[in-house]
Amino acid sequence: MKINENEILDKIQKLLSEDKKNYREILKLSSELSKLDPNFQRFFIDAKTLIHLGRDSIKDHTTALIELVKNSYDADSFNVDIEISNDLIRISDNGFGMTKDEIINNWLRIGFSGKRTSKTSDLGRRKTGEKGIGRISADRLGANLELKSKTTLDNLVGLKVNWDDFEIEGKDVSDIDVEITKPTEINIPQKNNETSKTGTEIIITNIRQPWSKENIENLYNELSTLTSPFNEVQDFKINLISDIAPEYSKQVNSKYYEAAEIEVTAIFDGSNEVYYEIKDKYGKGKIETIDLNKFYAKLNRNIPSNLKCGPLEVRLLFFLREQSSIVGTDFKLKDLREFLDNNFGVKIYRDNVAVKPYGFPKAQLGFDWLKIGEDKAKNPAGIARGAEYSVSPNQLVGAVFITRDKNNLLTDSAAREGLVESEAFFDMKEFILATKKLLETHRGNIYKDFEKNKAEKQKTPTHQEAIKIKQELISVKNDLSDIRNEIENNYENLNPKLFLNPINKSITTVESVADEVVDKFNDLLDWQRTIHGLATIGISSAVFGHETEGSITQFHGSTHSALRALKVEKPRIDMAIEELEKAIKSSKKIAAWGAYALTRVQKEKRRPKNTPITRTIENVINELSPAFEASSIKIKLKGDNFYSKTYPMDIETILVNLLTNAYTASLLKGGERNVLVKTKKELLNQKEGFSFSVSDSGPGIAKEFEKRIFDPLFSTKSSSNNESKSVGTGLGLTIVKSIVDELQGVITFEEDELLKGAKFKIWLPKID
Amino acid sequence: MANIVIIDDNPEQSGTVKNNLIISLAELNSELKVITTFPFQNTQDYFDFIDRNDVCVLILDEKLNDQTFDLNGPVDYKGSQLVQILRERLKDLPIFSISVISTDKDLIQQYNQFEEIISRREFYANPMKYVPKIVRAAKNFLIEKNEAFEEYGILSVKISNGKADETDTLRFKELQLKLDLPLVGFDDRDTWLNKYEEKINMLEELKNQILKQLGK
Repeated sequence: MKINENEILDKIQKLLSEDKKNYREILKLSSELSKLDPNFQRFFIDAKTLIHLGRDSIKDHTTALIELVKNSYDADSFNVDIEISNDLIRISDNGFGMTKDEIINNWLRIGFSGKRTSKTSDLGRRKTGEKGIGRISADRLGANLELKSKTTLDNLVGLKVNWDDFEIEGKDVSDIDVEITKPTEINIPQKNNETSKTGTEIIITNIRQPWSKENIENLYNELSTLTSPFNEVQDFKINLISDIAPEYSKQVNSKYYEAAEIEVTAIFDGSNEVYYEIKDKYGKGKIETIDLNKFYAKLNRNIPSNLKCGPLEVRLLFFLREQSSIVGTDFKLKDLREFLDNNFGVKIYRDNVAVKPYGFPKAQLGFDWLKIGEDKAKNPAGIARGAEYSVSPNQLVGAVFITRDKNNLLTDSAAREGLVESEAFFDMKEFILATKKLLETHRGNIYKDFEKNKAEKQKTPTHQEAIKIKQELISVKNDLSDIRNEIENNYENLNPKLFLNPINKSITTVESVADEVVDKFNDLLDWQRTIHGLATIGISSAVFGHETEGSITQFHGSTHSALRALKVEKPRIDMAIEELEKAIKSSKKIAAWGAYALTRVQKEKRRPKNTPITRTIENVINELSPAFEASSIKIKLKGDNFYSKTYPMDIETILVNLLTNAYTASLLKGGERNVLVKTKKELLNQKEGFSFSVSDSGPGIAKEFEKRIFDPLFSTKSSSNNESKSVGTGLGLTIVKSIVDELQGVITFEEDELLKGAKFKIWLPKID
Repeated sequence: MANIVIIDDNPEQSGTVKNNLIISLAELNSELKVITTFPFQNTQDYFDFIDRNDVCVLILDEKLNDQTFDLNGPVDYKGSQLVQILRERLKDLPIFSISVISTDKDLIQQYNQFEEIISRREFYANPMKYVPKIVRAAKNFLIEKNEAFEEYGILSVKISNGKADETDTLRFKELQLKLDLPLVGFDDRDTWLNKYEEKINMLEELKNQILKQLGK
């Protein structure tokens, strides 16, 4: 039943006059009142939306928990305790905590994130989230949440949320009560062996999803991206406690050093000797103790008279941010990159505690205090350039260990955070940079060896590789024949142990041959893909070349003409502007064609991946559409987007060839010209896959050519509509057929019912 | 006023050629005008267009069949095909080709039909190398056209007075062709008279047959 404005106002006034105020009813009535506003209305949010927002943003319960730990990291905690059982999850930290005001105005305000206005914490940590919805992710963990927090400014404060209350249909977010509590105790980790005065504890009960051993293991690995790889440092420690996987009930230690390509440790003893150790993934390394002067001389750096900084230990880890780095480890590349994003830089640890802001990613003053990024930007030489090479800052994770007692000349700055930039400080910097040079030199040496090996490996021709593989397999066959003969001839007195060696040897050989064959096949397929892609660029360039040439000429002509129009006795400004506008338009067309050619054979397109098929096709069409439009060919794409695992480059190569043919065919007729591309998911013989077709309004394929169109070097393409002057290479459809066969797909062609020209249809299976 | 006409399906392209011609014509103090037009679907329409617009030079693009300005779509012929159609009637009109694909095989095959085939890029780079040639061709064409009209006038009077001899008649026919005028004159009169005589002969024959039937 509707009530009028006066009735609402009366009710609100009555409620306001009561001693014990019913705030919820006041809010509800106020909200109803605001809906009677004749001039303006407001959005209001269904409570369920809040839950969905959290659930849609978080992929699983591990991620949900990580979000809460990231909040602890951003709150400058030194320690976080995580307790997980199937009844309860508890996350507590000794960060700066929240006051009651902060809980009400920030924590309860969905979408609020302090990380948006300040990207770094007081400790210089790069904050890890910005959406302000991480806390809603707690709903994924359990139905009930209790939060307790303590700051230096406020008493112990808290709140309780029952996420199930939000599930009720038709309720507004503001209809749900979140209880504000006054806890009497809080269980937070100690700080520097003393009870911490600040911190936050979150207890989640009524757990939604049971945790498995694997979940805990994943969580442990993901948490390790947040911690320093130098396990002795004390600035952010996570302690995991779980009865589900007792082996992971321990302090979370980063194992990412395992993925380091090179690890260098250099220790200066404070007087005149340097001990250094280099280790790399390839088992090469060096340990040496040398005179300080020799250390600097070796690296072609200026030799300081003496180092005033005192004893130092510098540890640098160098990482490649690519797939090869994680081979043989348990990490995913995504995790490694996340770890590097959280930890790159060279930090200073005094008595194992980080001295801010040095080496904290994105810390305003200290981030690139060694100017590694600046040097790299000035001299971006790659590893192949030998001595000029320098590492990129985001590949380097490092630590310098000092102590208050032994490095007394490295003193705190009084004016601002950090150390006094004294001679001792510069000596320390110089020593770190010398260690970095040591690392770079070693990387240069590995690269040379690596390239040499690669060159030697490449020298083996494919047919010799095939002979080698054949010989290895023949040797396995012989061994197995011997075993069979032995079994047949000596069945009664058989000693199985005698067979172990030859069988093991055979297994090892077969394994190694199988690896070699797979590698070789992959190399060849990759090579074939590249060749197909390059050939396709050539084919399409020959056909669309006219359009590009036209644009280049127009650009040239318009700029010349604009100049002429301005140079005449009475300058023709209008004419100059007209020509310059045309020049800009032409330059865009030229650039679009350049981009098209450059992106055709990108490496990532040569790997199978879950690909948005229609969108990939749409991108190619967009790249080619200027050429089609210039010849009045209307090109349309029909089909919803869907994903399928495939090689993106194959799709593009097939499509470019078919579109090139459709373009040429359409030009053979005057009047309306059309090309239609259709995509859809399609089952063929019970096999999952997808199809795409390209139809045109050209003259179609003559009967006499039908049997020959896939033959290499056969072409019906002519640049003229009345002469048989061929511009085709006769390779386009051969390439298409070869790719389709390789992927075990199907290619068909017929006359398009609507456009009356040729219609080519490709079906490809989903790659498992 | 005589016009240089550019036929091109790409208005940006023809606009740039036009602008260069305008600047160059001003520098050469020529009073010729420049107009551009899209290709016509019906190639016969060019003759009427040329007649109505006092065209003294035609400039054709080679790829006329890319773009369209109406719903009919692009035309189905190229510059090298159009020139052959035009030459059937316009023997003396200067026709130039300015094209990006100036070395195209089809175009080169029709080299004799054009005054000159000019690379578009070279034209843009140095228009003053080509525009004087175009102007000269236009002037010559206009002078010849005026002289031919004068001569045509004199011969018309001669023929109507019945004073023309065989050489005059032949020259008159040549001028009709040159000026793209309808072929009228003696030819038609002779044809008519011959047909008239044929009909009289037929009637004479008929009369004789009727008389024979009547036994007279």
